[in-house]
Formats: sequence, C-alpha cells, structure tokens
Amino acid sequence: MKRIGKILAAVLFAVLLLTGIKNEYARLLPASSYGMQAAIKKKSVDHLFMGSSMFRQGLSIDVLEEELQGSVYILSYNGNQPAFMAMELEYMLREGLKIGTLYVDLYPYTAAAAPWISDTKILLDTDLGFKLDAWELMSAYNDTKFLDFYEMFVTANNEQILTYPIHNHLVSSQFRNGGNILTPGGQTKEHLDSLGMLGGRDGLQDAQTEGYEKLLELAGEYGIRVCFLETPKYERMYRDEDYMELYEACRSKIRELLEKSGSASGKEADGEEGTDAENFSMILAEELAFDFGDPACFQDLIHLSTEGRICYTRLLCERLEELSTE
Amino acid sequence: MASDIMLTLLFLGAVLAVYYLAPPRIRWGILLAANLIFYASASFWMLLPAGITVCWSWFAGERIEEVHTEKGKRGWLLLGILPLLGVLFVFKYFNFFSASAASLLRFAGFSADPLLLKLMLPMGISYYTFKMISYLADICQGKRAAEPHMGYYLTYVLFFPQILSGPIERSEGFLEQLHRGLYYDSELFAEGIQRIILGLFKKMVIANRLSGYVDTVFASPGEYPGLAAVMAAFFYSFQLYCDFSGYSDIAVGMGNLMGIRSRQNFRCPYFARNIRDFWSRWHISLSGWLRDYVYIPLGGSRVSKAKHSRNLLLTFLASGLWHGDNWTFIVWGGMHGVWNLLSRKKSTETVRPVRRVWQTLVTFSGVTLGWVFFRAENLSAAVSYLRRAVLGFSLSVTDIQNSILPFTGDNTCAAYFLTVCLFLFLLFLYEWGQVYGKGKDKEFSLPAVWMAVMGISTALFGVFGASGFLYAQF
Repeated sequence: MKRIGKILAAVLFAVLLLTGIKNEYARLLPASSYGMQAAIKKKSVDHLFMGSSMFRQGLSIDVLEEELQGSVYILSYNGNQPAFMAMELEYMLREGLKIGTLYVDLYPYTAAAAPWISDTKILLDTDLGFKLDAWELMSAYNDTKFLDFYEMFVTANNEQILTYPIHNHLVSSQFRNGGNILTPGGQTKEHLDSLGMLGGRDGLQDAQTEGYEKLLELAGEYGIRVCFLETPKYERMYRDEDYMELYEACRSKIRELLEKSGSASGKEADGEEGTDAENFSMILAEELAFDFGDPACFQDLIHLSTEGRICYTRLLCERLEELSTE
Repeated sequence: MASDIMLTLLFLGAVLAVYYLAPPRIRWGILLAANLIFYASASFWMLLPAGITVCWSWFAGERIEEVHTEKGKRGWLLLGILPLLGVLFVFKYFNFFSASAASLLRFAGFSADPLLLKLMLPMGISYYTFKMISYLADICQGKRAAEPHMGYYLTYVLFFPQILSGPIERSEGFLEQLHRGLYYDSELFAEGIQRIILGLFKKMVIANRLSGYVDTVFASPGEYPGLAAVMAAFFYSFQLYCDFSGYSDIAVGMGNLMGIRSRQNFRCPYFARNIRDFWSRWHISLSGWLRDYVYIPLGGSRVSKAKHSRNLLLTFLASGLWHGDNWTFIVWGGMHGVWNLLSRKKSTETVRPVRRVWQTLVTFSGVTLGWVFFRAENLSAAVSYLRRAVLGFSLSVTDIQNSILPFTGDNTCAAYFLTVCLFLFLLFLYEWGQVYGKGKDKEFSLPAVWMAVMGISTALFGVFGASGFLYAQF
C-alpha cells in the first residue's frame, strides 16, 4: 500500500508540474501560421484584422495582400468575443507588436454572449497571467464550476501539444498570415433556407461593451487606427428580428463609444456623420454592393464561402481605398 | 450521482471514511445504508420494485430450503422466479412486445394500436433480477443454503458499485465474505486502487473521448464517407469495451476498497482468437450466468446435435434480449449464436504468430460487425449503416480528411484522432502484456509504470463531466 501511495504522490506531482509548464510555456512552441504568437513573431503588422470565425471565413488573405499596402495579418479565433479581443490586443502590444490599423470584427452575437473562451487556441498562445485574467472575467459573468477550471487549466490543448509536430504542420498548412487558405464551397438556397436561425439574446453584455471600450482605449494609447467591420450574412439574417435588434444595438453602442472616446466620432462609410474618420471608422456590410441573396457566397447563414470571401474582401478594400482618399 | 463516476467515487470516499471507523461487525449495515442512499439518489420510488422483489426472493429462498421434496422445491423456485421475471418484463419488455404484436397484427391486416406503459426503468433491474434468480436456483440445486440474514441479502443484491452495470456477482462468494466480516486488507485495498485507475483510464481517456465521434457518425452515416462509417464501427468496439470494462474495473476496485473480492468481468476480449474464446473473455459474469442458468438447464451440449444447436441459439437470443427491448439486440444475439455454432471448438493449439494475429483480427472484425446491430437504433438503420460503410468506402485524401473531421468538427480533429490512436495503442500494449507477457498467469496486475502512465494520462487527457455508462441502459 505504501508503494501505491508513493506512485500516486508521484503522479500528482507530475500532473501539477506538467500543468504549470504547459500554462506558462506552451506558447513558446514553434509558432503556427495563425494565432497571436505568429502575429507577435512578425513584430510589426500594418493591417491587423482581429475577430471571430466571421473573419476567418470572411476575409481573403490573398485579396488583402494584393490590395492593401503593407503587411497584413488576420487574427481569428472561433467565437472570439470583444472582451477577449481587448485582452488579446493588450497582450500582443505588451509583447512588442506594432500595429498600423486594427480592423475589429463587429458580430453582434459575440457581443451579446457572457464572456467565455470557446477556442482553446487562445490559451495555447498566451501565458498563465492571461489565463488567470480570462478566468476571472469568465467567473464574474458565469456560473463557473470546478470542471470548467479543470478543463481550462489542466486538460485544454493537451491533444495539440502531445501531437504538436504533426498537428501544427497540418493546421499551419491551412493558413497563411492568419488567413484561411482552405476553399469551402457555397450552398444551395434550399439548404440555407432550411437552417435554423440563431435566436434572440438579452441584449449586449456589459463585459463585451467594456471590451470594445478597452480596444478603443488601447488603440488611442498606441496610436492605432481602428475600423469596425461587419462581414456579410445571408439575407435571411437581415430579415430576422432577433439578429437585427442585436445588430442595431451593437452598431449604436460602437458609435456611442467612438463618440465618447473624444478622439474621433464614429463615421460610417456613407459619411453621414463625423469628421475625424482617419483613426476610427465602421464599415457595415450593407454599405457594400454585395449580393446577400447569392447562396454560392455562403457556407451557412453567417459564414462566407470562398467565392463570397473573395467578393467581400475586394469590395471592402475598394471601400477602404475610398475612405483613405476622402 | 449514479450517472457521474466522479460523484460516485466521492460518495465512495465518504462511505469508506465511515466504514473503516466502524467496527467490522456492523460494516455490512453501513454498506447497506450506502446502497440504499445510492439507489434513492437515482430514484427514490424505484426502491419500491427493488425492495419488494428483493424481499420476495429472500422469502422464496427460505421456502425452497424448507421444502424437502424435489417437486416442492421446483414449485417454490418457479413461484420465486416468476414475479421477478414479471416485474422485469413489465418494466423492460412490455412496450416492446406490445408494439411488436401490434405490428404483426397490422401486417396480418388487423387494425391494432399497441398498449404502451409509461414507466421509468428501475436502475440496475436486469442486474439485480439476475442476481436473485441465480440465488434461488442455487438453493434449489443445493449449491448453497438460503441466507438467514435478510440484511446481508439486501446488501448483496443492492451492492451499489455493481448495481448500475454489474458485474453480476454470484451470491456464494459475496455472502460468505459478509459472514466472515469485512476487514481492511492492505493488499486488496491497493489492488482496488489499481483497478480504479485502470478503469478510469479506459472510461475517461478512451471511451468518453470516442463517444462524440461515434455518436456523430452513427446519427447520420449518410453525411460522412464510408471510411468514417468503418472507423466509427471499430471505434464503437473500443468505446463499448472501454466503457463497460472500465466500469467493471472500477466497480470491482470499489468493492476491493471495502474488503470485498469480486470476479473479473473481462479478460482482454479483443485478443480472442475465435468467437468461443471471445465469450469466455467478454462480460464473463453474464456469459457465466447464461451458461449456468439457461444453457445447462436446457441440456447444454450433452444432448443431440440438433438440441445442442437449439440450446446454444436460445442462450444467445436470451443474451440479446437481456440487453434491451429492440430487435437489433435479438439479431445481434442470434448472429453470435450462429457464429458460435459454426465455429470449431475453442482453439488451444499453438499456432504461428502470424496465424494467431490473423485469427484475432478476423474475430475482432466479426465482433465489430455485430456491434453495428447492437449500436443501431433499429434494423433498417443498421443495414443502411453497413451499406454506407461498404458502398461509400474509399481512401481518397478528401474522404480521409472528412472521416477525421467529426472528432471535433474543427482543425483540432487530427490532434484528437492521433491522441485516441496513441491511447488505444497504450491499452493494446498493456493488454498484450496481460495476455502474452508477464501478466498472463495473474488474474490482475498493473505494474507501477503502467499505473503512473495511466494515472497521468487520466488526469491530463480525461474527458470528464457527467457521462453515463453505456451498459447502465441495459
């Protein structure tokens, strides 16, 4: 029995040690071609697109690199929320990354959710301090359990680390400068019409609006230009009351924050208001000549297909060009 | 509590603390109280059918022993067993037979609506009913005396580590241990910890990790390549084995911690070289039960060839039916029955390693084919699944990618797939050692290195959260 006790003690020690090492140092593994560590490694990025899968599926790295001057990087995590985007920006700036223009994903559903990390790659890219802050934020807004803590600090990403040489090689081949280079096809109208809507939410979450605020604050502090982008959604989404309610709330909140920041007013691309559009702007999908009803442009109701991604990115770049010349 | 193994282990910890503080002579009482609390935590009202049948079988056992004529004993045996089977039938099989009869009538041109009962299946009813039947049959056959202490009998039938998914422990060993007294045995305690670690590794690291993939592909095989259907079938074999044998290991280990020895329920079944060998290694407590209380009473093999075939088929059909109220289980049981009939006697001869590996692979593949019926919602779903696996099979790069994708649905799927393969390989190495290596002469062994590897793997790679056990539904 003593022998068993010693083995159990050794197991416990090994688990604690490995967990500690993982949480602090896993970020030092050779960087992949996407995520924060790959961005930090670049030291300087002229155009940083930061968002959720809307950006991952909605932006073409080929078109961006072709159309925009300077270096481009797309930082996208699935379900990336404004509260965590602010933390990610702060982390990267602290690590020495220089950013010219920051493009932030305006996806109302992430702004309406309680803070939660749904893409554990964020944890693989950051140090223990970041994770503890993230846990504190999540705990403040959710009924977190020990199991959530255990999954976040002990079991998260272990599969990726165990198989790192193969996993990293496979996954990195799907990205270039953070941009997804896989080419998913579009859908049929019947398929898109058969998909269920995403439902309603109880308005925007305080933590997320504070995240937007923090993003603007950091941008102001580091002299970064900021542009909020809404990627196109399938036409059914714009007919959905739940989505539109959130969309309007999110849009007006961002405008309010831009005004409040004092350094600039929110200027929408149609130039209907505001004067100082150089540092802060917002481009909504509806302002672009995008065909929202073309099923070939969508993988589902909210994610663009390869065709839609290329089309949207070209229109976006044209709009950015117009804005810069105005 | 019963649906979450970690909560069950916490409950065990609390029980052990009280258990070992109490004097040995009253430990059975603590165990009985723990059994009742555990059962009531799942469903208080389900204690009623359990309590009534346990009391009835105890009473019937006394009567069987008191009667001295063979006819009287058999009469009381029948009287004792019929209510137990009746309760089992009502709760578990009534709706199935009612629906099947209605379908048959409709097929014959009559209009018939099945009479369906809305009853919740009492936890562990298949397991404790079989325990009570074997107890009564043993008394009738003079293999054991009736248990005079009703508390001991209740403790045996409702033993909480085994109520959910077995093993179906025989009364003689268990009750004897209660009579001897439940003492702390450091060697047995250590073995219990080792068994629990092995069980947790199988359940948390392998079975739980595979369940998402298997459920996804089995739910809509048409949406995935044939390769995914083949992979999911094999993964289901591993999931079922790791889930069920993992639970059995934990259950036996929990008993060991309380000073109770139980028999092993699995002996590396996927290393079997033929189907008979498989059934001597898989769910040993059930196959042993069916052999002793169905197959042998029917005449076993000491009858004509035709009757022997009938006995074998009936035994396997009973095994299928025991698993659930669905034709898929009956087909699965029938398939194993026929396969057993067709297979030669249990091979014990030494053969070349290559042939041995071939025999093992053929047996494993055949068993996996059977599991497709076992897992499917109904017979047509099983046939569609197999059609998809055969007709949609290809090894193109796209199909390989799309077959791995259901693991997580995102770009971490390859990491999950490789991790599962790695842990299956680790389990294979461990079991190889048990079958052909140093562990082959022992009933159970978990060397220190394996204990450490499995302990660390469970802590770091376990998929926790409330997840039931597959065999609890049977």
